[in-house]
Amino acid sequence: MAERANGVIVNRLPSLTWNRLRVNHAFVNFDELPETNEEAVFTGQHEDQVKKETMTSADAERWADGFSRGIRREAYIAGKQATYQEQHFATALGRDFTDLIRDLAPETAVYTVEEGSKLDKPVILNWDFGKGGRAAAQQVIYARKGSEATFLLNLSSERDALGHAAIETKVIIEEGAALHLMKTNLLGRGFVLLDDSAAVVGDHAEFDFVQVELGGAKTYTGCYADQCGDHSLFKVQTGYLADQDHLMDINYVAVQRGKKTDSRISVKGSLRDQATKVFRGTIDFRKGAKGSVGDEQEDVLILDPKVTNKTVPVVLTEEEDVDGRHGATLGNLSPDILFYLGSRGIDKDAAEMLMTRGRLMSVVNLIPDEETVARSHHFIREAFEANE
Amino acid sequence: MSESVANSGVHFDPAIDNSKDDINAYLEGTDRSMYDFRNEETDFYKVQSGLTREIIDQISEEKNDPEWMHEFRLKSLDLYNKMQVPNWGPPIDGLNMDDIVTYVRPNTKMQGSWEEVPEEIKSAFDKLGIPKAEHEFLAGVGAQYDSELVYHNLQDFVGKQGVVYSDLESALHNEYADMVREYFMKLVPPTDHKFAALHGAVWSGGSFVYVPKGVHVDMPLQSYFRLNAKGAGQFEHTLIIVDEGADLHFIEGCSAPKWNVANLHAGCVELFVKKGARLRYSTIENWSKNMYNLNTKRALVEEGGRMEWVSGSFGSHVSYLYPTTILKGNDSDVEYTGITFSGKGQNLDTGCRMVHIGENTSSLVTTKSLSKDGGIGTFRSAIEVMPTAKSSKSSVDCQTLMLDDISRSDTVPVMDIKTNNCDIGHEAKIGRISDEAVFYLMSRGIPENEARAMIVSGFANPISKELPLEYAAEMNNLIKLEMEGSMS
Amino acid sequence: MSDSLLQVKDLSVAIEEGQILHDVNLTIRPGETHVLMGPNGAGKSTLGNTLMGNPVYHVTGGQIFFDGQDITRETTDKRAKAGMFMSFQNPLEVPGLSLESFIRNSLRQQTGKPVRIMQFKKQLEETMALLNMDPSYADRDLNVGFSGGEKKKAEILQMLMLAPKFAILDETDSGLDVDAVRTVSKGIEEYHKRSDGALLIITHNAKILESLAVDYTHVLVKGSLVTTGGADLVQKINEEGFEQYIEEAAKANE
Repeated sequence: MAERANGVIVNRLPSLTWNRLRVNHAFVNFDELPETNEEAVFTGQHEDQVKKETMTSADAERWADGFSRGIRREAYIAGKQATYQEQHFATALGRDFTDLIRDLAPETAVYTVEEGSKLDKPVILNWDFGKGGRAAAQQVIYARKGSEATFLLNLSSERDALGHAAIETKVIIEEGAALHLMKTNLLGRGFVLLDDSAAVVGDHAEFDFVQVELGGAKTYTGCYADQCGDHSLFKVQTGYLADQDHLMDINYVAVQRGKKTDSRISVKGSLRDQATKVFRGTIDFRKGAKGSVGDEQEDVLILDPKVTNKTVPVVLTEEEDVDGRHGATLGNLSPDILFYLGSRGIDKDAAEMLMTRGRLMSVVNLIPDEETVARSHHFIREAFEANE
Repeated sequence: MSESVANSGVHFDPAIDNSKDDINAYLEGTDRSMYDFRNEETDFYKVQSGLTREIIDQISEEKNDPEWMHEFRLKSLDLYNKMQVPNWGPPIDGLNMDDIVTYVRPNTKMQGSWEEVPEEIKSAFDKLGIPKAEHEFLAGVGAQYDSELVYHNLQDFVGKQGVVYSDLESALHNEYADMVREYFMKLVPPTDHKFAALHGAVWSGGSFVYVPKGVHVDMPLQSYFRLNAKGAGQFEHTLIIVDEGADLHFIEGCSAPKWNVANLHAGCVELFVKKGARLRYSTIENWSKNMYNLNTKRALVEEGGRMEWVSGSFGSHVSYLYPTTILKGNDSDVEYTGITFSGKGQNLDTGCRMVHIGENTSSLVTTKSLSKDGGIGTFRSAIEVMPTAKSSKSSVDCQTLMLDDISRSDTVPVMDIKTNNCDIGHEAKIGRISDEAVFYLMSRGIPENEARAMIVSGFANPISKELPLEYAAEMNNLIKLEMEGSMS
Repeated sequence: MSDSLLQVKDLSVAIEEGQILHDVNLTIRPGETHVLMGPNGAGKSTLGNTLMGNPVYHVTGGQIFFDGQDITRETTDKRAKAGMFMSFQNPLEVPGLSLESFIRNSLRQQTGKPVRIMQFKKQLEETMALLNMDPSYADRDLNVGFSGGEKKKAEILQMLMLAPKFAILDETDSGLDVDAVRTVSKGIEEYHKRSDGALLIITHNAKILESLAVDYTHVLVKGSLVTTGGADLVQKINEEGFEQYIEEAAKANE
């Protein structure tokens, strides 16, 4: 038996399947992290719209746990990951990562959006890694009753930079509030990113999650929404591009407990060169989630023959009165489309670029910040140019 | 350790030729070093085996095994003792793994007569309206039962075409002995998982079918599991070779539930579909509700060949059942049509696995699941498209109907795609019977329970229409029975 | 009252979201053709569905008598067996159940006798021909992949095959082209001729009524029957609209 390697297990699939397929979890090997001593530069924009406090990470965790009312330590079911035995406020990357980040980031920023307030501008949190560096950050966003806010988290560096980052964002959304959490990853080719998000979504509350994943060497990311509120909505829109020998490892989980909850997970991406992508998407209808609906769709353009794509769209159901769907479309551009575009003078490479950009920009354009949109756009263009 | 039992790191002795076209290299992974450390962590099943070399020696002797088979059993036993039970499926802790011998050497005095068959199974047969001849056949299990005769009749029927249909033990000793040795457990090696290793060690009974080149067998061949005192059928082995251009429909004895006291079924089915051949393999499993059904079925399809699975799972307490198809040859294809109905006390984990290796291969999966009365149903699948499988297509459509709010139904599909030149589609739907549809049917005078049963039958219809008529009728009856059970 | 087929007395109906019908009274005698008109959201379909016993609608007051029996609390299938029928506005799709087998099962349920197959098939073919339906529809899954027009024809087909005493046509003509409306009216005429059945036709459109002898026209506004007239009322409403009735209803509520 091998010794426990130096690293963490993240992105556990809520329901286990054949180990051989290697989708039950991902392993982040610390020995493979790029070495760097630089710290990323953090800047906040429009932070004055909300109350910002700092707590020790341990305090923040205890405090956030108090909001996780729907979660009990649930009985272990054979063949299912014991998420609830391990975490009170469940996250997508999971227990090991929560333990890790508590050590790495001793302080947590807590942002409170006051009751009923509707923010005009997005609160933007930027981590600029410049020529390379590292960061570990933990934040809690607390959207109080009836409020509405957009938080945008940008990670960026120069194209050839290397480094690593561990980010955890917990979100508490109270009754009738709407929170838009948006993220862009425009990191350099040598970055390892662990980026976790988790939310507790209350009655009639909305959690709108937008993720644009364009950079980095290895990215482990996910979002876990505990929809304990009746009529709660969890909406995910993700666009990714993975190229070279990069790895994109994603874990989305919608746990639908409230009545008439709604989850919609839409993931679009392009894979090129020797890139590997693992997408786990789970809709988990709990007993009592009467009248709930869930839908997850993945659309992957596989552009090169050495790509590896793993898609695991799981639906777990212990309630009769639900409507769950999942779908996946995987493959290259169809000969019909290539022919059609060709007849208009667009060659294969241009067609791939066009179709990829179309998919990604439909997600990027959701971000209400012109600069971020422009930078993402530029990043996509460069990615294709660099490849030629 | 508990990472894939298939990748247990235990290497099968190379003396047993296991290198047939390196299929197993595809089936198993290669690089898994970074995952190994987890092994100790999830080792929550402690397994001790009461199975010894002496017992295996005894089985071999009774069966008059050729020496290679005796060796094979012993090597499988070593593997079995080293391997762990899976960590991902339904719990099997109800199985007495500490004393596996109970399953291997069942009480020789059991199930001698129809009178000893439990009441629920008898009445199920009566309600099913199983053809009288078959009823009598089953009723006559024991003294009157003679499997040789059944096989012999079938042999006459198809023998003129050169088709061989016999029990596997005989084939080990006649002119097909070399052929059996060439194929036996090459597709499902004992290294595959713990219960495959167990099967390799203690297999007993089963069928051997060989269809020569170009021969089309017009009528389906059917196998009935033998229920003799030696426990054959518990670990039966089915080996079917459909040679180039040949065509066969094989029906696995389905209306014969087992009421053995020993409630483990670890059978193995190996199907070889040669160039341009076609094999259709149909099953309705209706085991008694105390059965642990850990059956392994696998098909290897050569160039231009076609494999068709039709599978209905109704019985057993726990099932692990995922017929696997390896589309090795170019232009080969497979269709899997399955239905699983999980009722009270049942945890049925079913699905399929498709491995695309050849170019221009295609897989089509259509499944339906129903859960009711606290039953747990899981649809589990893997579509694996290898880099060599250019221009391949796969389409999966799985639908689940929830019949009440105390049952559970999960779908856990995986698509593992390693080429860009492919077209992979997947769709799944989970829902309930719509109240509006029930109202619509009732507005034409159909009572509620019948309206529900009609909707469920309609849901199952795409599967039942793939079955031979009498089996389709049986399946519809099973659904009706299950639905009646839930209504009353 | 003794000669009435359907009698609705002070019927009030609610759904989860609130009250829809208020004290509706309606009497229909055998063979009569009634038309129910009203603006969108007036509760026309609610009345049809309540008569048929859709569990979504809760009777909060009043009674429904059919053939002298109080059926207010009766299940839908019992109402159908008693001779009631509804052509659905949005017929449901039932995969795996063929149209033919559906009608055969319904007939068997209603008559309590096995259906004589040859005779049934012949009658089905003839009726489908009358409705310009392609015979292949008999084997297709009930309403699955049917166009709007085909679904409505399939409803009329069921009505002709089941020959109820009383049929509710819930916007059977909506969304149909001119030819399809003509075919459907032909079917309704045939029903009238064959079984002297009574009809309650819920419609927006006078086209479907052209070839029918309408006995009564009712106007439903905001859940109440505001007026009842003869065949000429259809014409009047088509020319003038519902404004007058809406205003009257508003005044009455003041």
